Amino acid sequence: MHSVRIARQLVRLYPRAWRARYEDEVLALVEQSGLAACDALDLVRGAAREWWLRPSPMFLESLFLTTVIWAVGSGVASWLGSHVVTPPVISFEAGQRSVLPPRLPSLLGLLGPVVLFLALLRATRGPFPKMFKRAVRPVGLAEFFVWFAAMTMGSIGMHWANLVSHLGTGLPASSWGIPGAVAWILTLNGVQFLLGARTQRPSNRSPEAAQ
Amino acid sequence: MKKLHDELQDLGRFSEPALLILISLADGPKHGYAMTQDIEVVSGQKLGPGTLYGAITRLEGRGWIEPLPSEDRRRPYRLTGAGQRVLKHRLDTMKAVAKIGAQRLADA
Repeated sequence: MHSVRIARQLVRLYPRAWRARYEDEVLALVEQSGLAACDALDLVRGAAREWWLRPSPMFLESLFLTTVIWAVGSGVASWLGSHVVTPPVISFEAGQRSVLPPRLPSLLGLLGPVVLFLALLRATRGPFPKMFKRAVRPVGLAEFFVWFAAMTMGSIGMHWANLVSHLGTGLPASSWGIPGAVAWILTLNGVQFLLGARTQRPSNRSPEAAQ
Repeated sequence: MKKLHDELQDLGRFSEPALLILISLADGPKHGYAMTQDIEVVSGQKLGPGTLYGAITRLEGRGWIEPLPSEDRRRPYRLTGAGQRVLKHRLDTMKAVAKIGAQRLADA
């Protein structure tokens, strides 16, 4: 029974859909055959494979949307920062402009195509066509505009907060911009992932068939 | 026939456990524990639970095996028609390769 308890904990590492389908069978197998250390390791490796070899459509969709939004939003935020906000406000400190937040998202935004490429590479081994269709469905578009606006406003807000901080405290402008941008990225990805989770349609098919 | 061969190869790291599972199910339905026992007898390999159910997941997803109504928590699986075709093709290929290898050894 000790083996089953350990196996039950290890099976929790697997994706939910997989667990719903196979957990009882795995536990029944362990109940009969026991769980050696190499079997426990095999379960851990299996969990990693399930997440990596067959990432859920929800995850891919969320990653896809987040990346597109991030890349496009970064470009617009950068443009706004350079052409709309920056020149009239801080033209007196041209030396600081290269490290202000609108530049940071544009640099990080360059990572967008890389992440997107990796996501698509993974997706082509799985449910890319279905995932793509879901990504452009109306809910996805709504998410796009909401986050597009949020990113643009966030970028401008960060820029102003940075500027105020710089004028008020004399701290380097970049000292507030970097943690702000990181928090922004994490929040964006987290909420986007939750939105993806919320909009995922339930499936009764086997995890593999669900592809 | 080439396509069937490629499909089994597409299972990547699961192709060998998958082949062993198909062979194990060739003489009738079995549940997970019976499969591991049979595979150990036939091939000398003991498949861990993660490897076994990773391969079962993919075989079931491709329609090469199918679950039968569960007796308790142990769900038996059986080979489908498509699974039989894939297995037969793979075994034929292996037989042809083994024959060539044996011939070359004899000629050497």
